[in-house]
Amino acid sequence: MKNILTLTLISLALIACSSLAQNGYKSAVLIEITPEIKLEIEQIITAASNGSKARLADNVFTNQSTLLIEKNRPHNSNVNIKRIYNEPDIYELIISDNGQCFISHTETKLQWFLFKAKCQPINLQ
Amino acid sequence: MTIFPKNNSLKFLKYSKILLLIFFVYGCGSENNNESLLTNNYSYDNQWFEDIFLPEINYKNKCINPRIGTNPETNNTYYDIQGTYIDENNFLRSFSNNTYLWYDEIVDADPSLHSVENYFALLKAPHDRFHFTYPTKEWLQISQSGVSTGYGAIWINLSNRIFVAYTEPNSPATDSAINIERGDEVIEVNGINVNDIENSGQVSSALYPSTPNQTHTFLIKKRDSKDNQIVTMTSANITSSPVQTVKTIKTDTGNVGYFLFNDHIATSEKSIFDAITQLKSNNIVDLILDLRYNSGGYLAIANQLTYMIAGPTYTAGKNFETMKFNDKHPTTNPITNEPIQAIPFYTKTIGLSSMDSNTDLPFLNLNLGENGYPRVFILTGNDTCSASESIINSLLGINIEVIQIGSVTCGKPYGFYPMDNCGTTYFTIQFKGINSIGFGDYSDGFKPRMSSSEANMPLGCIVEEDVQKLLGHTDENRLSAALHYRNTGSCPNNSLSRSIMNINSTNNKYKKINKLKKNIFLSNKIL
Repeated sequence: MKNILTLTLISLALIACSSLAQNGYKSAVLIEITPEIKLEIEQIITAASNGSKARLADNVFTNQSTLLIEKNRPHNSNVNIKRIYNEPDIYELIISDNGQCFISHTETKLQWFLFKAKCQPINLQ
Repeated sequence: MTIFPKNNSLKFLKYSKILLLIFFVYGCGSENNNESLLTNNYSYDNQWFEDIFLPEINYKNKCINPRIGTNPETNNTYYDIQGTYIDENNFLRSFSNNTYLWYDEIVDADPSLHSVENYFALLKAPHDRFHFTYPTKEWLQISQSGVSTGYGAIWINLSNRIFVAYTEPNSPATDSAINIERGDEVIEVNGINVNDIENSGQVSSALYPSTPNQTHTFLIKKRDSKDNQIVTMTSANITSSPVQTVKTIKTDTGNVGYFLFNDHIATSEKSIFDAITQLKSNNIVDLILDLRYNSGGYLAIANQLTYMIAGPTYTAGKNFETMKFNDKHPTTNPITNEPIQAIPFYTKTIGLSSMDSNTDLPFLNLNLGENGYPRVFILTGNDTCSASESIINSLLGINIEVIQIGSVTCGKPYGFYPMDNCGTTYFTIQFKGINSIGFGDYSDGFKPRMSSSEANMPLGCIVEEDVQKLLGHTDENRLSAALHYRNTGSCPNNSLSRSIMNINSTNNKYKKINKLKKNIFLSNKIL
């Protein structure tokens, strides 16, 4: 039930976000990361990846505005293919003029609100 | 479609059944009707006729336990329908016969006599070391580039002793209160000696935690002081730093660049770009590339690094790598059904790790080797694998003189398209990567050539691992040997040279070293 609620919220955020103008967006980093914020980002990336569970660094989006997601990385094993031909998914943290943080998928341009996180343009670091 | 074996004395009854089956499969009405017929005609579908194979599509998605709901990989409803273990085995049998690189080395077995797991294990050549399965649900899990669960200490097994090969910065292992370093030895884990075979599972689980927040205690013998130290570490999601050391060594004959490259992860694009830029600005004339712990990853990264070493003059008009499938598919990729095309050298950035795309890659201007082409020294170990080996092979393919210093590489020129069926993802080798001159047969690994007949092997020396010295220090065994070779054109006395005169003695010694270097923990990681 919790997952359904989360996915619904994310979907609503996606719909709302998609209708916003693209102008005034800047690359951003998080001002701080907490377990709650990390969970929110994990849920977004998981939902954006058709439900495939995402593993993220504890400092995700704190040093860089981009997030590279590699597919086919089982979490409970050290098995890796090691000859990879496909490309990773690239997400970017951006901030709008009014200070709203978004995650954007660079290929599809889909965007998701971040409700719990605060961010700042990367050049303010 | 060919279904008749070439040398078969026609067995009319057998073929009449096959033809009848084909009629059922292909000759009936709509797609839905076909599916219905397939579902209801196991008695025809599941008979085994040795060396006769129907297309795998006839058996795909016919499952013992069909999945319902949405396939996360395609975002479409699962196509699974009710089937039997024989259907699943028949899918694997036909799929392997069609796409497996060594399909003609598979001994055809009756699929009704084996479980699915056991049957898949039969569908391989005896020499194939890379044949495995994974639950699809887990296989589809994703991860931030370079992030894995652990302590940030990379273990290495040397003669059944567990040492720290290197550490990741900002990890539990490098926390100031713990401060684990290269060369430190793990004596006990949670009070269990690491050589306690009866408890090897517990030791392995503690060394390689599968989830964050697992706490374990380690008895560590420090490299420098030889004192024992008890440390407690809690696992975390660790971000790998794929390039940790880039340095320029000044010599009387010009600057030598050293560059430790540990993982072809997506985020390494910027790191290797910066490393080559730095070394180029320092006017290096020789490069020592340390790949001893690099077990592979993104081919695109390997491609870029190869170009940056060789430069535009020597890569122009050449290819980095070409996929070669089995002889049923000389021109078309059997998985994608697209024409097989050589992969050219990448001369620009892709745009990973905060880099813009289409930026010209830097390249080096290295000293020429004995063959009149640029030369590069590559430090290797048993864990040098896959994409790392493709760097060596691709350089050799364009005549760049590779001087290999270290131990034999893992030997994985192969690749596969993971194939899901009924919730299991199957990994069966479908192609090998060949270089610009068509070579890709290094399944025994790259090792310094012992005679002039081994033209596809690098020059160089077999040199043992030396965890007692820090990586990048000029007195570390392999780096020291590379510098010695650079000065003298020969291997140091404590190594094995490429000398033709020493073939017999060196072969024996080489085998001994390789056995000693076998890494029981990391060997499962490299696939």
